[in-house]
Amino acid sequence: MIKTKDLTKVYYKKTCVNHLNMDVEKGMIYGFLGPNGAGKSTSLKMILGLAKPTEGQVFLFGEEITHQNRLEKLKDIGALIESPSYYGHLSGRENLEIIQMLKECDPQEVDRVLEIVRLEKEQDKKVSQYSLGMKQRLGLAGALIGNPKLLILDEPTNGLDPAGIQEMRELIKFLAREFKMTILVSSHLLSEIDQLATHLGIIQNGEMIYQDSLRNLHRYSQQRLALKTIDLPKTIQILEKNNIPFEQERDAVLMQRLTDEAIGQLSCMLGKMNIGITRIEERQKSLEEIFLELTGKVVSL
Amino acid sequence: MKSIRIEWRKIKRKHFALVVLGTLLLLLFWQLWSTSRMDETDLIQGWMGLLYQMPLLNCIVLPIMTGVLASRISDIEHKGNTFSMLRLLIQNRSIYFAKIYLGVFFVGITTLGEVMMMLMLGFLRGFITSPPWGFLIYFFGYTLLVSIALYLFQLLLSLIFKNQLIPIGISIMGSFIGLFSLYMPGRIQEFFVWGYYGVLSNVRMNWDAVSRIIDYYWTPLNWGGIVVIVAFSIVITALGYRLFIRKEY
Repeated sequence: MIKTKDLTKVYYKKTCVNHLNMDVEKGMIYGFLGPNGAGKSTSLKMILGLAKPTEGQVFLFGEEITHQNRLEKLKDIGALIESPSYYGHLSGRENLEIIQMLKECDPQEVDRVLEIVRLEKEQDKKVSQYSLGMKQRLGLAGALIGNPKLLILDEPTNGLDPAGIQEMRELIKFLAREFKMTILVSSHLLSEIDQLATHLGIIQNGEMIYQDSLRNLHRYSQQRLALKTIDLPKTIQILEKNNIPFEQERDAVLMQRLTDEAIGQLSCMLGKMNIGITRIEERQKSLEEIFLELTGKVVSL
Repeated sequence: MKSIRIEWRKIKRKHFALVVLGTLLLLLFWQLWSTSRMDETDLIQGWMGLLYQMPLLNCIVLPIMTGVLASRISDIEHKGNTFSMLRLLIQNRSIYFAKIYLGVFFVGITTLGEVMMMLMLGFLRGFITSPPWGFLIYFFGYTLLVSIALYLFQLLLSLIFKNQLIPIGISIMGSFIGLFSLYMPGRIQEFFVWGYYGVLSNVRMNWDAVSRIIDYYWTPLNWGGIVVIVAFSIVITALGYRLFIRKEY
């Protein structure tokens, strides 16, 4: 659905996006994750033609985007970029009617999207009187007019209160489930992407440093076994002798998960050598730790 | 056409009619006051007097009015961060030209209103001569052209600057420059676009300091000035088009 090839943007000699190769397939909820200033918004703007790439190409629905076919292709895409766009002096309904006129679609679409984002009751209120969450939902409603196949949402929960975040998250999941939409959603919040996405791309200093399914990322966090004994150097010798791979941590050794039988044998061997086991525990890398390893930055939660 | 229809929708509740009406009322009260005491000589020269004074008033009022129009038309987009949304749905040039159309419409209504007001004043005060229709049409034409030029200039500024105090400030400054430029020598006047209401006027005044008598006279129509103002509009439109179309969000 979206493919970028070596997408690059240089602003005043500063490379904001560096040879980005993104691949969003049909049916995915693709989480585009990265710390603030990593180049997420710039990448999305280039995909949508709001910013001109310095280098590289964007393919939407299998076709390269050019100045000529841009608007035609964007008809099948709903987008919510950065802060919500609205005419504050007009009502929610009037705002959506403007988008409906621009998209040249059925006027009944306005009622349909108002129902999806649950703004029917507030539709006649001026948007300037809306809360940020309502404005964001209105923005989403605008993006949904015309029932697009692909949704691009840039930090849709930014600035929302916890209830608003939860509501937006549910809404995005609902859209993917009920309307089979492919969704590209950016965020700097790992926890959010973890709860939403099926796939993710991690961007750091303008470069894509990870792109795969969320399931595979979770594999990074595979369980390991931490072993603490009263004599660590001797324990290490035994492990080396028996070809058991391990990593040394300050006062423990970390091993891949072993079978119950292998653990039994190991504890017997240590017992025979009079090496008392003080602790055997299962450890799992959190997604935060993986993210930190990949990006070198502490992730905000 | 679609973009123009949408532009009309967007300005709902923005009271653009009040801007036009307010400008016309201000001009009307000013002219009612200035024509309140007219002797027979004044009544003979009534039309000339109006065609002399109206451009002077326009130099003060219309730069600000066009600035306010352009600012309100652009500010609805800046305030709600809607330019990026619009660019996903419509060509930039359509947005730009729809905004030009809207401004030209309101400026046109204002100019037409001025001519109607002058005719009304002429009949109300009982000017002795019949209306100089040809010169009134010329007045309508050049006032419209100068106002369009100023609107285009202000629109360019209002689209560039998010903070609308800057273009509005420039329009107020333009109003002063326009008025004071008319007291400068002829050639210098022509460098200030805000003063073109006066530059293109075909009525001049002699004022005898001893007898304190004002005497108006016709001058040839300033076609060279018309060319300058049209050229200015074309350049500003092209510049605005270039800047606005290329703008990234």
